Amino acid sequence: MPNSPNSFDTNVFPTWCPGCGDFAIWGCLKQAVAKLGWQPHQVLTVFGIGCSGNMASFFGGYGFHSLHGRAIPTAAGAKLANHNLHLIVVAGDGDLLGEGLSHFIHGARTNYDMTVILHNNQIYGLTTGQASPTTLPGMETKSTPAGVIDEPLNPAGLAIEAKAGFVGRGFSGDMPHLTDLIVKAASHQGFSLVEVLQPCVTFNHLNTYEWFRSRLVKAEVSASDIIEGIKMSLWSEKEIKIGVLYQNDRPAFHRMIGQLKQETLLQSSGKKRNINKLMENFR
Amino acid sequence: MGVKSVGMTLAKTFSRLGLKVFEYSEYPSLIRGGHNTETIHVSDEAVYSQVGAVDILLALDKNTLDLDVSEVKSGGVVIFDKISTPSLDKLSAPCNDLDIPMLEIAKSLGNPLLMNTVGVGAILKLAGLATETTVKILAEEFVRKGNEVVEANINALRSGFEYIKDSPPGRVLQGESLRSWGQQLLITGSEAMGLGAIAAGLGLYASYPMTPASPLLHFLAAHQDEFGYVVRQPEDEIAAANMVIGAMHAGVRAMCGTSGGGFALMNETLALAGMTETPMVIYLAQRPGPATGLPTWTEQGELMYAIHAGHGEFLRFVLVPGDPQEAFLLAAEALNLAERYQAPVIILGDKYLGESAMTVDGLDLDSVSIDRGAILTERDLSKRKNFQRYELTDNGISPRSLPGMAGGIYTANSDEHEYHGSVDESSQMRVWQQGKRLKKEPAAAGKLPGPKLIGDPKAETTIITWGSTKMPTMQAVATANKQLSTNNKINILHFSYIWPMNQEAVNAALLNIGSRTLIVENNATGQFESLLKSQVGFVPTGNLRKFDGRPIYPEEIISAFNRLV
Repeated sequence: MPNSPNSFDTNVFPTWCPGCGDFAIWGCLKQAVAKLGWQPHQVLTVFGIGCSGNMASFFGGYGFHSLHGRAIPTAAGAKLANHNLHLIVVAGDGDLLGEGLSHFIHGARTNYDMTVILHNNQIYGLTTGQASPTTLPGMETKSTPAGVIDEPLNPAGLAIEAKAGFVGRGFSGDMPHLTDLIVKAASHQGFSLVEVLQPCVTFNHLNTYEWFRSRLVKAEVSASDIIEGIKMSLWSEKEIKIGVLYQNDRPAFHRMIGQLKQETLLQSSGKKRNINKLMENFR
Repeated sequence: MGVKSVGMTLAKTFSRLGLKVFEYSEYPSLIRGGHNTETIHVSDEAVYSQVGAVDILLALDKNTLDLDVSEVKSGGVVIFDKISTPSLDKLSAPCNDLDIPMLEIAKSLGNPLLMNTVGVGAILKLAGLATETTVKILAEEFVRKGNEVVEANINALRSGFEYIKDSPPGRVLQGESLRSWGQQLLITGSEAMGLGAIAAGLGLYASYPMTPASPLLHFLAAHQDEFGYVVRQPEDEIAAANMVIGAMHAGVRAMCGTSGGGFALMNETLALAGMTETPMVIYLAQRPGPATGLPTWTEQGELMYAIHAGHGEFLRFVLVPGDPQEAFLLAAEALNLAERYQAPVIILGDKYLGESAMTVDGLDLDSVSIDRGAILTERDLSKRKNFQRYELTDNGISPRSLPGMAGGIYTANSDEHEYHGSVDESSQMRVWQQGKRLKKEPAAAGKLPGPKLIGDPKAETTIITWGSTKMPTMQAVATANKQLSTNNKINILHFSYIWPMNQEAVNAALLNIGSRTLIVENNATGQFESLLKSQVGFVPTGNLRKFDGRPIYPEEIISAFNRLV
């Protein structure tokens, strides 16, 4: 049964810059979990470090404000411990694709049951404007005054190649579409990625709301083939697709573990065990 | 059989016969080849470690003859195969050489690899033992490979045994008159540690492969279905450590294991455990560093590192098991301390402890009790109107809720935080919360056991050990005390709870030791010696430090004692 998005509010008001896309993502996330009928105490959100991670103080439910890049393994440990919890990861492009890139790809290939909201503003915001792994070539930032040389990563494409269960892309400037996308992602059992294109109004003066609006196209149907999915995920000069890009029906990782078929680890472990029989192996 | 299984077959045979055994292996960082050795110390008297002097050398290749023959003592035996290895020329003492055509016998039985089993048969004969027990062990070991393999091995064993006629040269054990210690276990430090963690309710073990921590990964992985816990090999050590944090946060006992390089990657997460007050257990299996160092060898070079790892100031425990029985109990206790104090616990082992097998009478399962610490229930939470996860308390321990519990919502925050976990950078809250966290250290230290005095309390000399140096020191003291006069005995002061240091208990123990003291450690800089000096102002009479990648031998401890006297 749906509940109120307000039940995921806290008494701390966001500290983001006025106009920041994080406000919209925060709002969409609250609406999505309310629509799904999740109770705040059943949700554990693991936050990365960055502007998006600061949502840890503004988004209700159980939270873990983790280390830069490490939110996915923290969430994976919690999910294995108690797979009845709903796991959400909130982190940015610098966090998940810089220090956390290995965890991001492995999380996708392992297909841990969690929903990863990747706030992609193509810049390091909290550290006041350095290039990120998704900054477009040529952009001048504080750390790249002569312009970025590197090609940008495409997180949706990376996740599809690793056969993540669900890969979608949304835009913080289209809240109804993004809310619907998060609901779909969170309903998927397995690793679901929602890459959110999110203008940084303070430090990224290239990829603005207008810049995106002139390029975004809604995907009609999602791919189940990784080649098709990767093609859909690629940015062209004129067009960037949003919507559900790729989906498969791989079972979530914890469903493949025999020990977790009956009970959660929280229920089955933590008590003293009799090891007498195993000790016999050493005689 | 490989060299390792030759050693284990023999060690298991001796153990089942009620003899005391210590098995120690050396191998280079290669999958095949290189110079591999197995040392088995067996006796019907107490055995605590390997010893240097060799009674019987079974040389399966030329390398062994070249490198190890000098360790055979006068009157000992060298078993070799003149056809496959050149003859002896480096004997440093008068020995018996026993040429057995092991390779030819093995080939006649259909597989040159059986050569090793032929050698085992010869050793049994030299030890004055029968073949029945080993026959049973070979059958158990090879049953999965089918009857043919079992039969071939048994035939090889018997051929080696029968090749030596009635009165073998330099016989070392008097088989028929040996005392039996009864039923016992032959177990490594890693296996005992695994059993301790399983007994104590382990839920998740996450570990990225790294020698010498991997034996614990393999042992726990093999038994996960039987006991219902989960073993996960993630993408790296950072992931392993953060998975442990996630699982512990959600209320499941979790542990990760690694060696120095992997532990370095876990340091940031160690600090996260400190800040969020999340329980965490890390098995740090030391090998010689720095960097890749000597991957398959041993050292105690990371004590100071374990005590100081991680950024910022926070409580962590460092427990150092001295033998398999301690490894068993400390694994269980590590999980208790982590949950009781909501803090990281490092179990500091090394290759020597982790990979050497020794006989023990048993593991003390009755002493394992489970303390989950202050975890509230939903009913507790329903009575509290405004649950504060990080409330200020007298001993610094604030009761925690678990995700999923109604009424217990909070944020575990790597940023400094207020009572509910929201970011708070005010100077007052910083001082309150950091002060609260640091209060746990003295609260914990005062309750930790002090060092153990082993042996005659009136002994003139005390050897101070920490961790795995306990084993060769026990061996050295047992040997030396037999020859020393009653007013010149040696005892041992052994440390396994090292950090935080219970200074009161340590001071009390140091007041009651011998007038001559020797600190024995497997490192170059005397890390434990300087820790004792800085913590309690203690300075020993002498020290023995060794850092060549090899464990300390009891003979070296006796020499150091003699120099001291």
